[in-house]
Amino acid sequence: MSLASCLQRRDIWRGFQNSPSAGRVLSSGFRPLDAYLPGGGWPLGALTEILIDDIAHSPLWLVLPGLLQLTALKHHQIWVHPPHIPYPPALTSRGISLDKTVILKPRQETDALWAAEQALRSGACSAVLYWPKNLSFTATRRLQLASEVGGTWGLCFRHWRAATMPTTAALRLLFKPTGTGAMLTILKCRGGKTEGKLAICRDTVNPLNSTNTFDLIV
Amino acid sequence: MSPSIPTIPTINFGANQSLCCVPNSSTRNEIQEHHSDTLWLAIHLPLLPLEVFALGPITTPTVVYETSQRPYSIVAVDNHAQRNGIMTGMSLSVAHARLTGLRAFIRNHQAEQQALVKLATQAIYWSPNVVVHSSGLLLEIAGSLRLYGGLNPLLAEIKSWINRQYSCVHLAITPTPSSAMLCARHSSSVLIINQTRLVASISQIPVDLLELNQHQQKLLQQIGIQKIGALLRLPRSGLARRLGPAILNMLDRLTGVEADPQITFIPSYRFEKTMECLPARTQVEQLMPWAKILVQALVSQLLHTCKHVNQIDWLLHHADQPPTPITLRLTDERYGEKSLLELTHLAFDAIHLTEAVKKITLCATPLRHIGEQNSSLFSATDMDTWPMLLDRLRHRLGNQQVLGLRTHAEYRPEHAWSFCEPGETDPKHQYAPRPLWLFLKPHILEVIDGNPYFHGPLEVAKEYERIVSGWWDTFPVRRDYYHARNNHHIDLWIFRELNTGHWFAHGIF
Repeated sequence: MSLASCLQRRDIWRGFQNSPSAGRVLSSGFRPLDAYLPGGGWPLGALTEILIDDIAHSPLWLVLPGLLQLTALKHHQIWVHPPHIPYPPALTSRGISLDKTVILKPRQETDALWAAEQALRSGACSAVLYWPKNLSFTATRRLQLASEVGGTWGLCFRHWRAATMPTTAALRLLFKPTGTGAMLTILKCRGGKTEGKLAICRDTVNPLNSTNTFDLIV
Repeated sequence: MSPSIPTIPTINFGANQSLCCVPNSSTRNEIQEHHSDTLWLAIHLPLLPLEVFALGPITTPTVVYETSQRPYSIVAVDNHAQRNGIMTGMSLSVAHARLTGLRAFIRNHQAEQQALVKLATQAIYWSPNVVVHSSGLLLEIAGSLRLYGGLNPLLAEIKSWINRQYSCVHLAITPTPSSAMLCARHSSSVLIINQTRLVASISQIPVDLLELNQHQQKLLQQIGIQKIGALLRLPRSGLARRLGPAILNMLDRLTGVEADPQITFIPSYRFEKTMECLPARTQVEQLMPWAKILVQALVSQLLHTCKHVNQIDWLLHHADQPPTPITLRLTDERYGEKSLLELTHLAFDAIHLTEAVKKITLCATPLRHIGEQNSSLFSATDMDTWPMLLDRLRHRLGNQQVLGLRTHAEYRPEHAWSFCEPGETDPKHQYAPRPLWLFLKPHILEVIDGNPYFHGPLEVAKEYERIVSGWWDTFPVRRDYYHARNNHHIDLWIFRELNTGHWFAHGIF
């Protein structure tokens, strides 16, 4: 076995050098994050966990550029158990095609996990966004395996307390909003550096500095 | 009635086929040269009234009688009764008088018709032109001869198919439909493929087998006409005057002088089948074998008829409670047995059976033609798996739990969107900047020192968007929407109710 072929293996970790064979990736739309992640973007065919203070305040803006690129591929996207209504007027004006977006509102947590796994595994979806109440280690493994089978971008929004629990997700990061955007702490990154911190800026105009005033009176 | 008449060739359709009507030296080519353009095969089931009762091998003499007119007359007689001198056409009281212990059933026309329709649905396999008659079927087989490699192979196949289902079958092949039915009613197997032989062959058949009314039959009896040959020799004008002009037309159709259009059987593609679960079942797993049999039957019918289903309905019958309906809507019509069973399993799992299931019914309607939908040539897209995924999700989670999103041209944020069927598209509307998350209900905000709070004090932008709308309906809105940010750096969309001055949070950017 040559050194080159050895280095092609995904389970060979080369210190701080990003492995070129990190699988398919999807540009996150944030330059510091892309530079940090192996391959230069969100890992496709793998599970990404985003840990946040409050699951109800999930930062959609962080994943929206990625979802947009996938929308262009005409694949379906499934949102399992979102905490609020993903507001259709905002989604369409940002370019998400609603006819490819399906919201699942399972009555039970087991159904939600089943649905997320099915959607990830089917290969019919480009991305599956999942807001679990609790997620066991086995469940993360199931989701990760399903993502690999379906080649789907699995996204899981969890409470930051889950940071202490083991996971098989390919990427786990802690999201902390800041005045300009967010501070991301990479807790786990398969094939890349860990324990990194990076600040990303929200590219939209800060609404507080916006000068537009809308006065709509009907 | 004599069992066979010398001039009517009687053939045996079994292994040693002797086609008496065709010269011995004839080959297949000669048959094709000689026979007319159409060739009708009549399948007459003389014991159908008896066989629909599915009595099995019982030694009690049994008859079926007609109750439409008095005296009740016998229409079908089994072997035992026949041996004891009971005949069709005999009145029931006479039969009882002749034979004690005679079992008699009232004729079930509906069951007979259903049996014939079932046969006709299967007979479409042999010929596209199938006609359902009162006591049998007519198949136009001239068009099928080439496909099945000639008359003999086709007949052998048809005979083996029909003999599996009915013990007493009369077959007749003639160039005209009505003569085929007539010959089949008269004799057990007849083959006349030559138009010129037709008249000579049917001449010996008694006239009472013709479909004539009582008055006409009586008149013919009075003038001493017993055979069809004698009837055909009568002067036509006199015949028309005495028996009505319709009889001429009937005779012309019989002999092939006039065309005899038939109403071709169009099978109903609705599928409905029930199976009894013995003993009654409460577990979904235990129901699956029955479900599998039903799905197999459905899939085989679909394959035979080149049709698709877009919805199937299950009905689980209980002992006391009303039946539980389960509807499976299918996004893709091209599902096979495996996919249908998987969806059925999911749908059965989703309902919680409390009562034992005694019977299980599968209905499918409407069914559509194959080929209305194109699929991709190089199938590498998600199109093949998406409908299956959607159906799987729907059947486990329920239709109400699998939703699409759409927008509406509305200023009121609550009315600017709605859930819909997944995949519905709508025209794009222009909106002012809107939050990515919308709260289903606005959260009222605490106000401290004139400042609204949401997990901490809010920094509210000066600019606002005023939305005043809906004063004409039941949901009037007078609000000023602001962007705001709390000390956890959460960007919010909040509004102040203009009427009350209360603050609400309505979304997150």
